[in-house]
Amino acid sequence: MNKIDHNAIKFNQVSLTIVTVLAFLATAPWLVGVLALVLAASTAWPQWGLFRLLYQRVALPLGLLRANLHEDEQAPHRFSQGVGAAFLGFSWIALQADAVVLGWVLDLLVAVLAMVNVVFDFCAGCFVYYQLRRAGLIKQQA
Amino acid sequence: MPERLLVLLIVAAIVVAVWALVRLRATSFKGRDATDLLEANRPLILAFSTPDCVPCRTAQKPALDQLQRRFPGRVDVREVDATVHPELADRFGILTVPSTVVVRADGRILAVNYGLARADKLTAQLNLNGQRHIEAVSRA
Repeated sequence: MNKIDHNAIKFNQVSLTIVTVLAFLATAPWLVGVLALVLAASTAWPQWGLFRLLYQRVALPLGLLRANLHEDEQAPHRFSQGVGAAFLGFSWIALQADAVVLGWVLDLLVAVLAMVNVVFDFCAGCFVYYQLRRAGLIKQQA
Repeated sequence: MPERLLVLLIVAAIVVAVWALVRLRATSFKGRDATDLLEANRPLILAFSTPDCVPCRTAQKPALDQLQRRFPGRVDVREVDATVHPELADRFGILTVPSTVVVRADGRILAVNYGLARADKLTAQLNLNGQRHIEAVSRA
């Protein structure tokens, strides 16, 4: 396991929430598309993630936040980011196809899940996975 | 724009309402008896996890280790695989992992935490800092 900065993850989630909400309020589907690309890029190349760069180059040097390092695994965080990118990608496609309600629901879902994690320390993915497993829809690996 | 603000407010209200219901569910277990789970005359934390739960390993486990390092011998921690012991998970209405059940030394349930519970939160729930203060005062 490596040391992961949990404040960087929270910064990422809060930034994600702000942009998704702004896109919704300003009726700006292009912003959803851009955000999907940004998240997809930072999933593939974490060191070039836009929010990570903002955190490292702006928030930390200005003393707005301090690093909060913990032993952790990078993979699940990248996976969550990839899921966020996929949701936003589908949201953008839906908005382009005039499925406005579906598009904005997906956009706001990303915002809600990110904020629930930040504010309540509640991993929505873990909840869904656990419930699916209890319902027998996911089998335990041998 | 005003309609969109209204939608946002409704979404936020729904999230808060769902969270309040989850908290209410957790509170409903408070004060119930769990004496059968105690092994010693010490408070107990039941930490529910599953083998593939990453936050259980990377966040909850370190928080529990930290608690035990800070208060050695003051609290028992028992890890429970919720998939191996579903009856225990059902008993405390476990909705997700990680979850923790905090039991007082007399067997009464103090709190059920759905989601990650950090060391400071568990310390406050068990009032470990307060007890340490009281012990220090009585020794003086």
